[in-house]
Amino acid sequence: MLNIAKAVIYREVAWFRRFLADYIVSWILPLLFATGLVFLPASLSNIDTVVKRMSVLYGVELSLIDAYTVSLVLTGIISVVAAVVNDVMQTLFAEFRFMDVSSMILESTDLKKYIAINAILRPAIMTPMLTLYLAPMLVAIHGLEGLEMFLIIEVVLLTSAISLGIFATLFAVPLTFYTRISRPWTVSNIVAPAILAGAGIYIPLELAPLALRLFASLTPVPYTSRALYAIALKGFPQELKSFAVVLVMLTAAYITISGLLSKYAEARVRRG
Amino acid sequence: MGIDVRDVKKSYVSKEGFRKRRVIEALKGVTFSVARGEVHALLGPNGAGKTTLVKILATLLLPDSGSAYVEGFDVVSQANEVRKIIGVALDVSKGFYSSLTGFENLVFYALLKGFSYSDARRRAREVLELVGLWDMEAHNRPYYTYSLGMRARLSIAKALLTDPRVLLLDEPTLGLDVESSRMVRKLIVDLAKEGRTILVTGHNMYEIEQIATSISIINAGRIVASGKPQELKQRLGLLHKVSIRVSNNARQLLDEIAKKLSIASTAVEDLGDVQRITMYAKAGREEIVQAILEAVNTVGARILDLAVEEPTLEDAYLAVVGGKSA
Repeated sequence: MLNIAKAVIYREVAWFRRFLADYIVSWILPLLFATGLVFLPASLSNIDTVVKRMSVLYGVELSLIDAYTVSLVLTGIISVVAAVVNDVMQTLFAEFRFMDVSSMILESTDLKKYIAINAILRPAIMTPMLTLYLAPMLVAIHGLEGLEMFLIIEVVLLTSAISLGIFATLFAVPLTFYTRISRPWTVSNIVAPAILAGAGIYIPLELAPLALRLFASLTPVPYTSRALYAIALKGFPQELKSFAVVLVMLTAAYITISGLLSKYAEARVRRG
Repeated sequence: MGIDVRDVKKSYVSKEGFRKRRVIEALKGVTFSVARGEVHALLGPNGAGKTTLVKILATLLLPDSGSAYVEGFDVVSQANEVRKIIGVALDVSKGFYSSLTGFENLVFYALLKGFSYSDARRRAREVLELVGLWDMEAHNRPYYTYSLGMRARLSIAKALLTDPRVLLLDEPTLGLDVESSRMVRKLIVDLAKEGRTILVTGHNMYEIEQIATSISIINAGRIVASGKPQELKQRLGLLHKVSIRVSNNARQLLDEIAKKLSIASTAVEDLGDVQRITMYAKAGREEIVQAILEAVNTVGARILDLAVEEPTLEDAYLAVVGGKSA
């Protein structure tokens, strides 16, 4: 297991160096998005109206700083969900169906272990890299308290991303080993926005269709976003406790199903 | 024994459309063995089952029945032990992360194989130097920029990374230019001299004849001939083309040779002061030379020149697979 972990970490770091420009874009765009979320509607009316509407939406009295913090923190989960779901699904597919690095993996280790470690380590490495921009922004807004907030947000995002990474294998394994699909992004491009919409991140939860809300509730994202709101609004530890309980339950379920799927996939691959 | 394959069978189920399925028998009971330190070539047309067999020996595929051993380890029940002693190069045109460099790909593979980080880097550099990619300064370029020759070199470097006792190379020179092919052939010969057992598949008879110490010809999932190249050609009863230039008694010499050898398509040409005999003899090289020397002594002819041309491996291969060349 340790050898797979070392190899995956090495590859991720190499990819990070190679794709640094992509990461810089993924830091700038959320900043623009967060700024736009508050100030774009304000350009049509005024800042106070926007902050009041946001207060109604979140059910808490917000200041401008709170509103901006919430929208900033929101961008973190958008980046993480999109990157984790897409990367876990598409990388496994590309490894086995496009680049054919399967022989490198199959002649070195068990497929089941490889899939599990990838699903855990890739989100764990990518999440801090993707959300690095939050640190200076939160420190700039909240001072030293912002750093503390960033660290708590990172823990929440990291645990959520790992759980989501394992969840993504529930799609990645069947897509790669049990279907003849040749464009996996057609699926991953639907899954990530569906989770985000169903979790009430794009639109208020009450307006999201029931099917999307049900689908999203199978993932840790709605619980993560509630936890993040609470942190951003310096809210209740109770929210974090329920997030942790749900996350553990969901992750346990994902590990069981993903383990079974990977085991059968390995048998199928080695059978030819 | 380096490699021992006994009655290995393998079928694939090919899906055609949503419901229709077709069973393809890739291997129909393959048996052959390779001694330690030997370069054994597996020849056969496309779809003969060469790659399937290599994948089974590399523990990538499970056989349906039969058994296969690499240095005494069962490829099914002792797959982990087998993986520690083999190096594999399959389809040299791909098999690496396109956005990683050659060096990074090898370090990743070495780490997967259980090397420490420093050992992985050191060994990756060593094998890249061995195959010439380091000197070409290609080790720090992304894999997608590699030419086919560079990709083949990297595949072989990967196969050598763990310093394996057994090498399984599936068509390592396919699509390579002359220089790269020559480099790969030389490398295979050098590796065999170090005592490694090498199983190499391919179509190019010229190349195989240069490097292989033993050969198996596989066709439609079955081994149809096996042995050393020379034995294989002799066993197939192929003819040697013999040219003799003599100063006198050409006819008598030919008659005398005919008493000792089975010969065909004879021709005697008068070239002024000398005569040239051209014939096809159905015998081994040593036997032919011996018979000619005895005949020369008997008739008192004077030989000016003698050439015994070998049947090529391609002749043998075509005779076995019925001209169904790849």
